[in-house]
Amino acid sequence: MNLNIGQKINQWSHNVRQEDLNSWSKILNDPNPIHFDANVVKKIGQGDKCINQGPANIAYIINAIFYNFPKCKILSIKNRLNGNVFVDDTVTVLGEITNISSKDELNIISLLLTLNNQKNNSLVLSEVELIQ
Amino acid sequence: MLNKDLINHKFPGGSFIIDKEINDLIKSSTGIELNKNTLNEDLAHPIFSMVALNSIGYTLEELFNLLNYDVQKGPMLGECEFHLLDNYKLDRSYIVNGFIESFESKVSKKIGNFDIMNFKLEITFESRVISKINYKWILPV
Repeated sequence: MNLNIGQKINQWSHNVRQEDLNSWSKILNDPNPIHFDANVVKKIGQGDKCINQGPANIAYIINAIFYNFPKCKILSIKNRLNGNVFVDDTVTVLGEITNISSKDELNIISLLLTLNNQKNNSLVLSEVELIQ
Repeated sequence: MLNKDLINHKFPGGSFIIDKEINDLIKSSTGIELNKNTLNEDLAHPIFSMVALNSIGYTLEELFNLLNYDVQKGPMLGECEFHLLDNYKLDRSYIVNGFIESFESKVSKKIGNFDIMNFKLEITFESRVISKINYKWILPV
């Protein structure tokens, strides 16, 4: 597979379900009601649907990386969280290759990825380095 | 008033074991169909670098109490950077250690005055570093 700087990655999408948030509450041992009680979210003025856990949003970024580079080894990911993902959102990871370098006969690939919702708002911005 | 004397405060630390059940739950709850060979089945999901946050020896609520910070003000995770030095594998016990590195005071048009708490975690297996994680938490004043 030929890779080039500026090349777009294949987009990866997921529809966020309440049962996903319930699973993450269990995974993170997180009792915060904003993840399972929409009334609490309304009360604090953050919207009217439950808010997804931040680590789940980063997991989507990772899934998109493996979708595009199934055998890669991720070296680092720097994530800036800019907004919330809500139940019933459809999130899409998209982005491009920003650099390709070589070290010890391995290709190090840099990516700039964004996790967008259905309104095309960027909710997570991630700088990634991986070995292909 | 935020207790900024906690710079260099070490967390009690803790550990976590990655079993197939929890790894499958992460995959199925983030849109990966199980047994579809989209991730190497012998390896665990790299997101365990962030899941480790619940093994620092404090709950987040306890950490904010220690900081003398009212969680009703709405603390937010601003950034998370992690470096993976090796893969996570199933049925291994990983050790988590970390400390508060620094605080910064800032002002934004959107949320007004706020502090940033920087803290670092390190995840090891048999004394070998697997992952290093830097967190930036935004703490509105």
